[in-house]
Amino acid sequence: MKVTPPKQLIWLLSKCCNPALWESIEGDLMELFLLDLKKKGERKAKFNYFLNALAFLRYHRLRKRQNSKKLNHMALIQNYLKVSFRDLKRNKTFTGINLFGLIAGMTVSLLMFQYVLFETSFDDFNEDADRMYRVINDRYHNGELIQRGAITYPTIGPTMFKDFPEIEAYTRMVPSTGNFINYEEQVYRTGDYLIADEHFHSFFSYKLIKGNKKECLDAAFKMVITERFAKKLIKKGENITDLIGKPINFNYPTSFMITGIMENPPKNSHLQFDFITSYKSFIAIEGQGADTSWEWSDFYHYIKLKKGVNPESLNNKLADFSLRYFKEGEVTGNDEKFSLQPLNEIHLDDTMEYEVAIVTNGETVWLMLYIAIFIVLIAWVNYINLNTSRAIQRAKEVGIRKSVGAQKSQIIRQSFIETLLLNFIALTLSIGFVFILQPIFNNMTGLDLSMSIILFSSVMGIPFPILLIGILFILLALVALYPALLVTRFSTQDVLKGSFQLKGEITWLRKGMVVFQFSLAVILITATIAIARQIEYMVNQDLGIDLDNTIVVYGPVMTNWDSTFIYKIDQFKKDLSSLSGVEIATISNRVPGSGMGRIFRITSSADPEAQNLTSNHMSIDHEFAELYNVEFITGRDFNYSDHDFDGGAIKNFIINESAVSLLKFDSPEDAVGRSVNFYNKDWTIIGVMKDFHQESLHRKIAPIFLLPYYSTGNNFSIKFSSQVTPALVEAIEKRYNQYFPGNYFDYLFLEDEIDSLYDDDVRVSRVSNVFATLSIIIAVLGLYGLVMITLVRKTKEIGIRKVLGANLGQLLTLLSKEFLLLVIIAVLVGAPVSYLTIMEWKSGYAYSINIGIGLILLSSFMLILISAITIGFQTRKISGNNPVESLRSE
Amino acid sequence: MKGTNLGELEEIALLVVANLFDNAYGILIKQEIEEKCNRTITISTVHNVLQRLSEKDYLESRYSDPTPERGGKRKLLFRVTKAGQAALRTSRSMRENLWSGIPKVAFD
Repeated sequence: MKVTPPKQLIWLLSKCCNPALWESIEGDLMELFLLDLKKKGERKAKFNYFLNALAFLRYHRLRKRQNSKKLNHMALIQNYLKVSFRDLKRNKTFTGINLFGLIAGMTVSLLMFQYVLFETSFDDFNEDADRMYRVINDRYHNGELIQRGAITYPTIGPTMFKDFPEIEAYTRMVPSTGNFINYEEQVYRTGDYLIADEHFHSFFSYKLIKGNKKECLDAAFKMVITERFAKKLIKKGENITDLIGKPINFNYPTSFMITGIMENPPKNSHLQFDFITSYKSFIAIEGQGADTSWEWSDFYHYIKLKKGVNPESLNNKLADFSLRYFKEGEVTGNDEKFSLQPLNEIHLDDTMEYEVAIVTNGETVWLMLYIAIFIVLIAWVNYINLNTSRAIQRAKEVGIRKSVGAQKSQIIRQSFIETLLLNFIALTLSIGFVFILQPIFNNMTGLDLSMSIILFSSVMGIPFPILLIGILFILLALVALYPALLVTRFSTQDVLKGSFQLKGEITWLRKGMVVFQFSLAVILITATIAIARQIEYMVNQDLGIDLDNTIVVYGPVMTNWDSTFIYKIDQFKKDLSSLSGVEIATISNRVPGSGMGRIFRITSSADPEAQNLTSNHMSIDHEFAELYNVEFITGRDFNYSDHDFDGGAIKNFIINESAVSLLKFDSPEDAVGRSVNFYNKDWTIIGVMKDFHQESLHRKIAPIFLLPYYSTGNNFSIKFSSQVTPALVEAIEKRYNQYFPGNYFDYLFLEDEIDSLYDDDVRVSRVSNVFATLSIIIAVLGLYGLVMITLVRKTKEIGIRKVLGANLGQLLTLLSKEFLLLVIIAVLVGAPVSYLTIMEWKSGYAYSINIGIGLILLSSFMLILISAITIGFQTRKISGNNPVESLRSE
Repeated sequence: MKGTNLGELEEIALLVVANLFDNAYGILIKQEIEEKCNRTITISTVHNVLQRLSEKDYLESRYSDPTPERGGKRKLLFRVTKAGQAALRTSRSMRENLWSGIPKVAFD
């Protein structure tokens, strides 16, 4: 048995050592090995051999030189770069078109990625976000869904936790809108806040700066405040943590004690609040029902499933849960159905009623992403198209490269490097543009976005930047490959002779791509015009109420409710109306534009079948209709005597037109004077109002009951005879402080509030405007390039035709024909698609414009016109040339 | 090209190659250095030194015929060039100069 030294090592060494010395090195090692074998035995020999061999790697002198082949590579790449640069410089038009398209596409995509990543990252900061759900409550009435809401009954969370071992934890809360607090003799207005149980901080991952996670909300009258709110309260020189243990007063005899300070909720948290008060305080104030009722309805429940539990299996058990506790409507009058909404879907679902979370339209988010991708596609189609066409012009270069022995792979590499170079330039510039455009974009979206979102996000566990670069690279490969493969197919001789034709397949592909581009453009233009018109329609729609010159002043929350309150309000209103410039004032629990509460279990006297009805309700006073100019169809408005300090004594109310049919009355006249039972007593209808849009035009007008209730939290609406002046506001503030001392005076313009209902739509409109414009520009630029290439190829033909007496008009028709045909085909493809898209989108609005074929025809015509101008313009230029010149051009 | 001065190990290697005249190759040079100078040296170091000297044009090399005892691999044989000889002489005369300059008193 012949012992040999380890083979792998020799192989490794042979790869690393200078080939000229290798044989002698190997021989020497072998000789040493054999000597060792004789003297010291096999193991030692092998060991020594190993050491000796490795030792060779120490000396770079003995290693393989960076051989000449590699240097050659570098030189080649340099040459490619040089040629690419020259080519880019020489053809400024094409470089410009390509760069513009790519930069626009990339800039838009980067911004859109920021937006989409942010919107889809909501609530990811929670540790077990994937196992967390919100319980949502659908209410059915006679088999019809009457409410798909995020609110439900106080007992749901704890009961589910008790009944289902799959649930690891739960938390319940009552989100509440802004309020007023009194701290150290000063009144502050707060943003929204939560009333949450003691599990809140263990359940979610909001960070406590100071305070105990488990104990800070475990008793009545404890509260945890956020950093931003704490900063409002502290005096100079105080730390926010000094607030621990300090009392805060609401309009309630017992004061709350600050037991914790927490970091502000992250930007991507669906719950946004200034502070949290303990659930036990809520029970103490409102009564045991807040804990044990099956009917009180304003509560939000979140549950966390144990690891490995399939949410579907629990979802299926919830039907039995409903049966067990709600007995098909015996308890609440409705058939209650429950389901689990994954935590990370809350933000992207804006269809829930009684939603308090920060939500957005999820479809809009995805739409933006698609549109961004469209733009990039259009830009890259340009790139492929122009490059393919120019392959002909570059053919000579390729021919020469081939004739001096370039291989296919090298030519493809050349093409790839060129693409890479252009895209790299574009990307660099795009990133610059993103930084410049960021503030504008943030203003447009109303979000605080930045590049760091892209850098630090990950999708499916892959860091996003890496994913992005990967996708970019694959796409680039595809984009670069086609022209390159095409070029290599030319035969060298033909190319150098300068006689070869584009194959049919290529022309076909080019045409297909132009059609594709312009179809997309048609869709985008149509969509943009439709969205813009819809918004214009909604903003200018007659709401059935008059909102001009109206301000809304916050209600006197800190004033106690007593028997004098109604009188006091009335005096205050009279006092205001006496001011010159003020027409009239009113108080109501809802101002136009805001959502309303519901009344359940209504029974109408019109029809014994009409039981268990549901309607919206508002509390208004006897000036509301006058101020907002709401007309009465029949019956009368409220007067002062319809109000009463004792709520039980109130029995007159007004309904709107839509409520007439709900209550099964034959006509408004039939309804007046009839009785309706709700809140466990009989009420009398005294009047019927014309329907008006209380909510935004996204929603259909629903039945409304208008009740003559008062409360300290209700806001004043004040109407002016003309413009609002600061002096006038000051006068109002003075009187407000006289009547309601200890309150916080603040006001807003009603029109701004109404306009803000359409913020989301306006946003989409702005973004789509930009997108559509860009897509048209890019597509038209691409067309421009293509026409140019074609005309250059046909210079000779044009010359000959001119010599033979063709006039300009004939030439124009001849040359524009094929391109215009493409655009027309594109329009024919795009128009039906855009029609369907718009129909689909319109279904999301309760009131929408009629979008007819007219609009689509208009946008198609616009596009054809733009294309025709582009083509005609260039053809004219070429046809104007002297035929002698063009015939000489070779 | 590096400076032409001779390092200590280079000088020894050069002398050993000269000693072994026409039969100087890696292993033999290694053994000779170990024996004559009483120091151990790895084969890679030997190769490295020989390479350095070749780069300085003090050595020339050629491949021998294949030899069976090395697994059929040829030896790379070294020989001192004229420049190598000159360099050795220079360094020798420099040393002798320095030796002769040492006063009797210093070394007793």
